[in-house]
Amino acid sequence: MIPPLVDMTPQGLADELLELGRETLKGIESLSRVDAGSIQVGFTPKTAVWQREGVTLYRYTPRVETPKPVPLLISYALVNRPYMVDLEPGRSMVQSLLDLGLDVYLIDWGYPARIDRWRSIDDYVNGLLSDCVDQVCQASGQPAINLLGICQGGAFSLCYAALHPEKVKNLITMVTPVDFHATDDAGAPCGMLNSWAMHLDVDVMADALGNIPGDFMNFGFVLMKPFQLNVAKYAAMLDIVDDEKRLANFLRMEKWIFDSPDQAGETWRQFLTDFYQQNKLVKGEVELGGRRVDLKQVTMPVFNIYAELDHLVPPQSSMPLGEHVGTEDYSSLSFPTGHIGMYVSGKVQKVLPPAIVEWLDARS
Amino acid sequence: MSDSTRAGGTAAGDAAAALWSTWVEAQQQAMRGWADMAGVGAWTGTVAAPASPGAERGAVPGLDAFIGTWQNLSQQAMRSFMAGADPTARGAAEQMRAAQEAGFRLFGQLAEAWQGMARQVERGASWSDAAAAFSRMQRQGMAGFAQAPGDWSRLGLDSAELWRQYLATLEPSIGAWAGLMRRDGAPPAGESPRPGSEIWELGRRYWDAWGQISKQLSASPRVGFNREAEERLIHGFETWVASMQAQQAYQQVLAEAYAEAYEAALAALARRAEAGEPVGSLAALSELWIRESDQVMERALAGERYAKAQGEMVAANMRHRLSERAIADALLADSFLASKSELDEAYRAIAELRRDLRSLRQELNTIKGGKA
Repeated sequence: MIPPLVDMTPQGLADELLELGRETLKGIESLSRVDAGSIQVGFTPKTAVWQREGVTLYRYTPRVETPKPVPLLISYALVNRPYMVDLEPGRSMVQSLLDLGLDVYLIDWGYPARIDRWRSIDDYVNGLLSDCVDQVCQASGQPAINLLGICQGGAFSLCYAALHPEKVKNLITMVTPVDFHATDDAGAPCGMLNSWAMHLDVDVMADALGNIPGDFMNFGFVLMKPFQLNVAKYAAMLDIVDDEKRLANFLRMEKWIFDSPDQAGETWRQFLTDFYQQNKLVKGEVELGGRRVDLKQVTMPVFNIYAELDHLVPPQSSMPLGEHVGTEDYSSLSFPTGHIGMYVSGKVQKVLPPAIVEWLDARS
Repeated sequence: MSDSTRAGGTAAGDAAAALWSTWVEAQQQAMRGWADMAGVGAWTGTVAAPASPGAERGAVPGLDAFIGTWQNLSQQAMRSFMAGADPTARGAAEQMRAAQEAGFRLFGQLAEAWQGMARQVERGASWSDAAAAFSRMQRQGMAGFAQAPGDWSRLGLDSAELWRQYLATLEPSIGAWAGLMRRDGAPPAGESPRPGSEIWELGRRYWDAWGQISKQLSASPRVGFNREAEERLIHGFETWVASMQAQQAYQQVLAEAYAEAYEAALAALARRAEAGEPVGSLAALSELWIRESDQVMERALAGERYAKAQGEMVAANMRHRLSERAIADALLADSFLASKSELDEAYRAIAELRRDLRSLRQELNTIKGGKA
């Protein structure tokens, strides 16, 4: 007796095929009723306090009467939009931090235009990020502030903290790549992006494209789990199309994933070459504005937060930070989740903001 | 949601309900016939074979017709319902529709593979051996094409045709100018050949041959008024051929990874069959296939071979873009128009001015701070 491919009667199979087809049509109809307002992102009230070259510094409206005196400035990655930290009610790191009494600022790096093609990492770190820090210092009357860098924004924050330690009271890095040549227990290179980057001719890319299209980056991200991210994810939508709230959550995430700014060509060239290909950050060989970035100059307290199942920034890449910074006050915290789960997992969001605030309070 | 959206949604909902109830009724009739035709015993025994001579061929009789009808209807639903929808919702709906269709087609393909494997099991092979044999056959097919001594001269190496194709690629950059240079007609349009197919391999040899010929062309001396323009064009042609070759090599690596992923999924199904634990639903089948396939893809795509092929493909494509730009730049200069290269230089100057300004601003702040 040959066992069947699917252990179903023909009628059962016919019923399932029909049901899947019917549910999909119903799903299309449900999606047609979604209006833009219901999938709004970045909902927490904020005010633009400074703008330059398409970059905006926002201050979130405090949610306690007297916020803590030292503000927290969030520096997100360039490859996606920063509203991931304020995606929706109940899944907003920003809102939780505000509720816990912090005065929160956020840098929105914007969408680099063709005119920004030659903007370098020096321009980002010693220029725009530095300007934002100065603005926050000035507004708060503090000589130094708390800096939270996320992903690539964490790498930039490390550079800034190493070059301007007097301006950073406490540094928090979150899912931040540090050692770009990290290996797993078997000695194999970690991270698909790290492997791909080693074989890219970044010079010819920047020369030919100028700015690197966001779609190019997205193509790479989706290719990392092709069947899961192109098929399974959307097939599973059938389970949520009748649930207005879950559908809106899904669509907000979808909006964020594909809202990918182009990358300023020169920054991309430097980041790929110096960080990914030559691993200069941990070697102390990155040079910005004629100065060497020496992580030993990161002498303020450092809190390193990473995801144990991160396929974009492998934990092995984040974990060694403690070995390279000069601080004597180094802490780390990890979560059994992926890169995106750090922002949207309900469990993480219950623990993470209080952990940050508690850590800062102990160093206030 | 707003009231107006709700009201519109209700109307759309009624239309959707009418659409799918009509469809379900029609499909139920068809499916009933199909189920009767296959019969429970025949179905579970073969997962494929038509029950009677003259019945529809294919691993799952009626499936193609089902998919075709559903595809038409779902596309109609997309057009009817999603015309003015939010772009994110519209994109997600299209992806959902496509994912479902992919699931249906996957089922058909797996059933066909299963049918082939079942024949081997009936002849005494184990399920795992049958899965391995099936995969081997697939791979041999692919390798066979790649190693065949194909007579590429059969293609005729029509230099005029290849040249026309190259000029057509220039059109987005240099528009009408390329049109003037094309002697007659547009290059034949058509779908990209499937990796591993005979036409794929012939294409590869075609490009190899032209790589050699273009080297000879570029090495031959040129004289006269248009020499520089001609050299740019020849260089563009070389980079175009190199780009096509690299693209083909990349697709080959990707196709092999997909084949390996497919093999892994079949092997997992075979293991379950041997253990007497076949999957119990289409959803479970799909889930198993995606899990097994992604594991293999992740391994393959993280490997050196893939990264290298991808890097070479991207670089070759970029070099071709640069050669296109050189051609376009020269034409724009002749027309007294700013080229992208000139704009890039202007942007560079602006970036340097911004840096100077930043430096001055920071110095000023330091002075102000000192005075305060």
